[in-house]
Amino acid sequence: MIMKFPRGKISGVHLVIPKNEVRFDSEVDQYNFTNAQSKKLKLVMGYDRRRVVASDTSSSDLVIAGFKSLIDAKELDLSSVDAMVLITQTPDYLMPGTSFVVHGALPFKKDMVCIDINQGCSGFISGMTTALSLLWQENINRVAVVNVDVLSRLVGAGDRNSRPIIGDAASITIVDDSVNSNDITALNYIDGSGWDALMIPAGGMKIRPSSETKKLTQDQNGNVRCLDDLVMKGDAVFNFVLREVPALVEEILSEAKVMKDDVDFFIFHQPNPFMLKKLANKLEIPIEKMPHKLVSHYGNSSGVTIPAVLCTNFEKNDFVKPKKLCFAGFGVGLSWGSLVIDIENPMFMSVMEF
Amino acid sequence: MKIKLLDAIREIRPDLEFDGSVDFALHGVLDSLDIVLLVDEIEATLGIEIEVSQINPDVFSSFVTLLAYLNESSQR
Repeated sequence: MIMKFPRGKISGVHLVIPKNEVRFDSEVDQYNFTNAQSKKLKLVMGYDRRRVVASDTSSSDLVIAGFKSLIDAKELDLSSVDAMVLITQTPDYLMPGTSFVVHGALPFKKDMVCIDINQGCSGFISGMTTALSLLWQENINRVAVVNVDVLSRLVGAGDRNSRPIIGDAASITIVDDSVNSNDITALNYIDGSGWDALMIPAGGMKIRPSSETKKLTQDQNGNVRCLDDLVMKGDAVFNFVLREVPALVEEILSEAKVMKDDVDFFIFHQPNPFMLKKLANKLEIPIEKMPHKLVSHYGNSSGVTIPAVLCTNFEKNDFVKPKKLCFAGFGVGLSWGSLVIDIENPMFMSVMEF
Repeated sequence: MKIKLLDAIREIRPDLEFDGSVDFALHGVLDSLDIVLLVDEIEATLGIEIEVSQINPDVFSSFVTLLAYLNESSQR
């Protein structure tokens, strides 16, 4: 679905990454790769370093630390926030939503809106689309889009498909009301028939966690997991991304009436460098315009990867002159979405460790 | 081409045993990581770039289908 937004701008992006760094070399023994495979995977898939939380750190911990740091730096006055849209697959609790936990820990005003969205790697697009829609309300002038995931806590130690690249992080993106010279264009697609391509089978109401759901099994490809862990059907997701994302980007550029050359950077979700290079090649985009090394340094942090690419590749001064960006997210759902937006003079574009 | 492709598969999956026949399935044998590594290996050693749209279950269903695609690509 195409959506156009004549109002709204990104006024700041803040990234929170865990201090704890895990190296692929230090855990390679648990995956049963040959030495040759390990070397190639580092090169091709970007298996190298990733940031993960401690076993007792939750999503709200990262987000609260992020807001506190913005308050301390006098970058953000919480009383100015009229709505918070929090997107996560790793909520603190089944209920209440994590946005309420964050709201309760900090001096937000009561006269505001909090929305929790369960979304993964396209979660930044969903959050931005929701925020931009909220800005149509007269009383909503500033929305905090919060993306956070601590999926490393839910990936099996012997999951060779997912564990070597999963990272944790949180981001806070401030979206303010403004009149734009160029419309923001958003495009979202859903294919619920692929709902089980990426999932955590137990923990919800279909399968309650129990001793049974903790039993480890090995699949035909050597991945060892239990029902409490993340399961990714790698082939299905791989084929889905390469099939849908090029068409998604072509369509949004056409709808936005923007040529590829007009886009300064293509900031995509970061599954791995291989896929991103293939997507750049298919779209005939110079790879220099598509940052693709986040996974090697920080891991794949699901819906946080797009703001993470912004904050680790750019500083606020890089946007003194406006830059046109094309975002694209794709993953669980299955869902895929894109946003074409200009960013100019943000108040902050910063990274902190927690 | 046939030998080079066999070598590429052996490079990424040295554990697989071939019985001399090249009419064997890849689908269900190679997982997505294997396919990524195989694409990279083919591109590096055979010098054939595999298009995004061709990294799909049809082309990678068996040795024969992949070989046919590579033969066709090399003649373009």
